Amino acid sequence: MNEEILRIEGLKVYFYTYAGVVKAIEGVNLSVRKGECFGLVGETGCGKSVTMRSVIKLVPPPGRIVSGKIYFEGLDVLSLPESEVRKLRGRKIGFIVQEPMSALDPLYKVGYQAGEPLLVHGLVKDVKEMWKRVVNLFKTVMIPEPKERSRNYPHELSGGMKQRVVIATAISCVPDLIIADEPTTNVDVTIQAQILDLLRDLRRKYGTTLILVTHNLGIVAEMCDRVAVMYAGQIVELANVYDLFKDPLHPYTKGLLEAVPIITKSREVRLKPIPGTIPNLIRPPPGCRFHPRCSLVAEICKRERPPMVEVKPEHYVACWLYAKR
Amino acid sequence: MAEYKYYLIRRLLTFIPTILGALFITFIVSHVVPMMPAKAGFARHLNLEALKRLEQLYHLDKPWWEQFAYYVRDLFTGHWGTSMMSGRPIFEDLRDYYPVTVQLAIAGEALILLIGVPLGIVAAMKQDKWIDYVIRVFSLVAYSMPYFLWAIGIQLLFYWKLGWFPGIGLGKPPAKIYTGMYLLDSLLCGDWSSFIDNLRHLFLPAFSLALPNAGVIARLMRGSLLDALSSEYIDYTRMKGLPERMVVLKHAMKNAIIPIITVGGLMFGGLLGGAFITETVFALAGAGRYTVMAVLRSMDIPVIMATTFLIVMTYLLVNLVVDLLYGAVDPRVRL
Repeated sequence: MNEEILRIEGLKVYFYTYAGVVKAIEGVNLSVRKGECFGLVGETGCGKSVTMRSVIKLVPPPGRIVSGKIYFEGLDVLSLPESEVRKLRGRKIGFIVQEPMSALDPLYKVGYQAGEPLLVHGLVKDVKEMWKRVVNLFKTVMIPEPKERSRNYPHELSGGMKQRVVIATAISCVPDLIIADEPTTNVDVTIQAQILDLLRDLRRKYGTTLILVTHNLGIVAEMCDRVAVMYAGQIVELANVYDLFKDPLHPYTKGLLEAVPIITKSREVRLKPIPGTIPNLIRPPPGCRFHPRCSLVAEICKRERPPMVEVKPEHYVACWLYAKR
Repeated sequence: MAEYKYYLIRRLLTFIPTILGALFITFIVSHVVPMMPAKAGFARHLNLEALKRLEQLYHLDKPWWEQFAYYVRDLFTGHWGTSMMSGRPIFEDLRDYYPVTVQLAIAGEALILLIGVPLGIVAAMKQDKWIDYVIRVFSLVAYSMPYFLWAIGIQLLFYWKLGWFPGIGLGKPPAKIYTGMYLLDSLLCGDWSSFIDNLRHLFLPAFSLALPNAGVIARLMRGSLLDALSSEYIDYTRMKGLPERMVVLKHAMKNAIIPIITVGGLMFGGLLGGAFITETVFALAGAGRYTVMAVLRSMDIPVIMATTFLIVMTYLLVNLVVDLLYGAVDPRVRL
């Protein structure tokens, strides 16, 4: 269970825009264990997606991976040639994107698109076999009338169905790792629950490692084993889900949890938003990137970046409140 | 396929009001021009007595709606009347002139696509590299300059100065004439020397006709390919592990070509209406020149109305073909 499938070391991704260099990812370290469900949470724009896209070396331009190492099943991904990384994409690492509406090419049948990874990775001998496999895949992701639906075009399917097609695509080659980037953000709540159930079932069935990228803490609590909290391009806290929710350490994590509505609480209890806004990453705040919004800020926070320390077993936090000065 | 059949029937039915509307407008326009058609055509040669008789012969003494009914009936029964200019039946005139225009239009359209599409693709693939700038400047210049400048410039350079291509008229007539399009006919009867000669004659006019349009297509192609390439579904094909060649050719290109079908198709419709300027500069007896001459020289109303009818028909047909193509490529288009 403790075998590592993915390790990211000192990852830096910068976006070279006209306005300046956006330091989107500034030294991210994390490791994901085989078979677990790993959650990556943070506000929109904190670099969750970019970190995950770095894993398959597909950072959207003008972004560039500046430094760092990514090991997937022991392979040094970033130093692999493009043709070798391509063999990971879709084959070993399945991606579920957040926009099912626009992730499918409008001009091809959804079944064909879901089967494309099988074709390009040579897992089927011809298109006929691919179609057969696709119908089974559609059954797996619980698309009703899989045979008929596979022959539909994207515009003929609902958002939830399209998300299922995307999931079918991601699992088509039975990958070792599935990265689900906000899989439920753009579908309505009932579908959300169905999609999460589906992901859970798939994990049970194949034992696939799942990285769930989300800003929804409820989903994290429900699905994940361990979770990392990201803020402005850095990991600020990493723990197993139980510890993180019960005993959050980082002021940012605490803030996040206080900003979640709890139904049992009376209506008079107001949510506590985190003051301030996410920093401009062209000129990020020096020291701890959270310090301008932190209520417990100290002098050192403004000067030096806090190191990641293991406060309790398996519970890491990057904050000067817990680090030795 | 059944869908296609119903679609075709539906579309052909909509042709009827469109054609009648177009005919009505041309009819009214020609009718309100303050002149006596019979007088304009023949006054120099005839006395008043004879003019009266001519007016009766052409039903010009009848009220306008009756004239319109005669006109529509005759058009659809193949009686397109006689040209006042040439004295020949208009049908025969057009049989000579129209193939020249059709041949020029086909060659022009082929060059538009052969030049415009690849340039657009290269520009998009090398976005913001020097070659992209060169292509963008080229297309800007190409479509900013008017047809006559291109025609005269190209004729001056390649015909007068360099002498690489013949600069006026059609090539040697082929041994047998079937369609009146020399290039096609020479191919059909295997007359190779005529084929080559006609190809050479066709090149300069087709090229000068194509350049401005190719500029538009290149720009459109560049834009729509860049659009497609930056879309999320293209991103997702990469995440699936597709090689870049497949990403571009199979997914991006197919999406990018859709606007080209529309615009390229409409260009073809325009070209089929006759390219008066190009036909004039290169001394080609085509339908465009025939029509404009009918207007300028003699107010040859039967010819004007007949060619208008022809242009309306070709435009409708081209539009229909464009829509069918569009439906074949894009499943979102409901036929």
